[in-house]
Amino acid sequence: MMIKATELLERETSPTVAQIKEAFTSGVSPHLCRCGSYRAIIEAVQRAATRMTKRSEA
Amino acid sequence: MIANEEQMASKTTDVFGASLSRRGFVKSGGALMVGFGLVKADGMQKTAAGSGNTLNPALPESWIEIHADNTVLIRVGKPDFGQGTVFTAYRQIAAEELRVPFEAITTVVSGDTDRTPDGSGAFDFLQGGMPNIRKAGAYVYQALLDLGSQHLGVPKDQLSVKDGVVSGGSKSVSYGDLVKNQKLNLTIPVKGDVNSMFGLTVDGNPPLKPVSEYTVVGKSFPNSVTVSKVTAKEKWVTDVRVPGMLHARVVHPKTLGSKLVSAGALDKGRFPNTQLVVKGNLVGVVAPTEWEAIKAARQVASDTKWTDWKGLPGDQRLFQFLREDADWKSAPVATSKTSKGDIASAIANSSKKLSATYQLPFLKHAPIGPTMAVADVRSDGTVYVYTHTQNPQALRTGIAHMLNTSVGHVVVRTFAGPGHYGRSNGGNAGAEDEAVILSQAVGKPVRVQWMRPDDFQWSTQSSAAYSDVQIGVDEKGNLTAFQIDHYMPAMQDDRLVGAVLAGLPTIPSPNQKGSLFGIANSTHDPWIYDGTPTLLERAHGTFQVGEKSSPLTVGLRDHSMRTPGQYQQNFPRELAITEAAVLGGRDPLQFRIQHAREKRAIAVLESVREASGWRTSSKGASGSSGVRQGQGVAAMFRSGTYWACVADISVDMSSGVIKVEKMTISVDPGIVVNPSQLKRQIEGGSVMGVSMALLEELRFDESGVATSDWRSYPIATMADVPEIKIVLINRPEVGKYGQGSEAANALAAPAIAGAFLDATGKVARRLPLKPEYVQSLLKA
Repeated sequence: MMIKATELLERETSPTVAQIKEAFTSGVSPHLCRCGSYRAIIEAVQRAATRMTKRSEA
Repeated sequence: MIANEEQMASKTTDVFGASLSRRGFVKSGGALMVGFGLVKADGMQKTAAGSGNTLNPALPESWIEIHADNTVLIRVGKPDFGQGTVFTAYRQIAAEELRVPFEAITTVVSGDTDRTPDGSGAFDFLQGGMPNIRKAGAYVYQALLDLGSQHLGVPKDQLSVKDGVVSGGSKSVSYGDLVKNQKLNLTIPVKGDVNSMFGLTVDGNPPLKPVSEYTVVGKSFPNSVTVSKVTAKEKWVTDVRVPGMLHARVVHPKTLGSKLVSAGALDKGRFPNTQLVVKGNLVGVVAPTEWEAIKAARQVASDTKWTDWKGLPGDQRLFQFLREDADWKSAPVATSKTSKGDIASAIANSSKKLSATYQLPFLKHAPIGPTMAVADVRSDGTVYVYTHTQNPQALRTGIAHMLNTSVGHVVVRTFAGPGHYGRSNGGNAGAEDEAVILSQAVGKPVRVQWMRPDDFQWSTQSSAAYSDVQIGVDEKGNLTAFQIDHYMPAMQDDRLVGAVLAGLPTIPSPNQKGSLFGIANSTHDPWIYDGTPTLLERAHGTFQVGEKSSPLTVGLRDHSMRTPGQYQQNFPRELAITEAAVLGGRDPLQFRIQHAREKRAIAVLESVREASGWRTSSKGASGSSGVRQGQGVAAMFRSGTYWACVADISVDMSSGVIKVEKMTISVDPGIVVNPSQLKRQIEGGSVMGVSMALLEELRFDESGVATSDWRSYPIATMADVPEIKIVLINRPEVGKYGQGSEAANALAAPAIAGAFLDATGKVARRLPLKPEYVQSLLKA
């Protein structure tokens, strides 16, 4: 999950929910979370994107 | 001075049934430690040291430690399973009772049998488990008040405490200064058995902090463990390595009833440093490296002979088997306390009637990581097990029983790992006992890692179930009668499966005499529609499927999983309630409100109606093609908490694909301890519930489990995640902590099936709602 999030944020500075879902479900097999924490992961990626954008603007 | 010290050392103060004593003085540091004394039946106390309990009441298993630097340490037997409850809610509850800031509790030790006092497992954290840390905190607070009173020379009732500082008579002293240079011990009364599934319970009634004065509970403190996990600093169970450790794979039997005919010979030319271990029907391969263990196990497996066995009905015949062949007569039938009235005549006299059957398949807990453990059976007879289990003390008891040794010889240490969702709440996740058996055989520490197919085949399942429902409705559309008969095989098999295969002692299976839980079913789903004039709820139990005919006594072993039993009973009930509303031409949500009497139940339903934007008219579009929208509702009372859920779905009328667009959940747990943690747990539960409702079903043939990977047992991906809206209803006046998370799993299926009825006019009474099944309903 962390590696995929990093890879996504390196190519998309401000990913949409659809882009995040695509990133975590495409490829050979989807990234699975049995606890169902997907919403938290989506929010975390977006939060990271916002922070990283702010940092690069500063 | 020495005499004085001795005098002080011998002094013991009674603190609401606990006893505070000074064990001596130290030059630096100092602390107040909390041990315990077991309460005997006659109410007399004795210390744990003399009780046969292996924990020392003083050190190092102190429940709570107050340190001279004003920091606090808490220890809890329940291990964290990702919920973060021991690191958030438990700290908050302890901080509240102790009157210290949340941040003052700097260390939380949990889940190791030799480092925590009370045992029990990762379940029922806030309702059943919470009183321990709350009461232990309350005893310590009273002890600190006594110390403060002595120190300041001010009567106890004239003292106040804020942020760990005791004040009174214009003087004040911190907790740290009260314990400085001293060895203080508080022995608190407990009852129960630390080695049992439910562990020790703190006894007595120390004064608890009034809920109205709470300042820490109710705030969203972050889970301290998240950072270490995100930054890869957390030590996971898969990271555990001990000196001299070897790697193992187990060659499991060919079927769930196959006995060993002959183990394949190990190719010593290819694997010179690998050992083959055969014990009963357990075949293990132990190697210096993991890859060699995998390769050698494959080589041995290819040449290992097993007997054949076909003792299962197969998934296609499961419900026919359960209805026609299973023995429902050997277990007593449980009837709910809320059952009332003459149901047969009430149904006979109803203007509209409905009779239907609902079916739920076997499910897998399906942890993301297959089970693994490291065991070290030492030459002196002590056994260390490093693993990830929901109940370390129960596992320790099981391991000791298997080895015919005392629990004092066994230590279980736990580490972070994948969620188990109930599978290991009786101790065993799968690999631990196999690691112990192999370690004992080779005389070295051994790490056993199951492969994915092992985990699907040899772990327990969540029980399949079916329910028969009969409903009567009058001319006005009100319920006149509701009868529901629930049928479910036993669901708490805590036997160590490696021990079963090896022919070593285990506790009885639910099928066998002396089992703690047995095969009896019970009415798990509390009735919340008290306005119904006649009601009959019954629960019927039977044996685990296939176990009796399996020469291994294995078959389909079952185990509790998220909202166990209640999930199997709430789906039929809630879908039937929706059907009853539709039968009488009523709105399913308003129908529920009108039949409920408890105001907290009504309030969650009203809340979810508003939050979801509930539409009272039928939501399905006309026509048989295209995509239709639907809304459905479900409600539940579980472990002190009221729940209501609305699912918004779309149904593709040609493909039969159901998509859950939105889940809205209103929850009233009484006191909300940590809103953001609760919200996250509900989100996760909702997604798992959607997964169970739409995708999950154990496929099995006559010999065993036919699913072996995520393709044959699909679970929800991020693409399946709906919009989730959660409304938390905080009711401090209830004065209790209700359970917060797992019920969310169970709400999804009946709400989604209700939405499907709304969208299409068709009733889906069998889970999961896969496209082929949905298509067959749409064509009918």
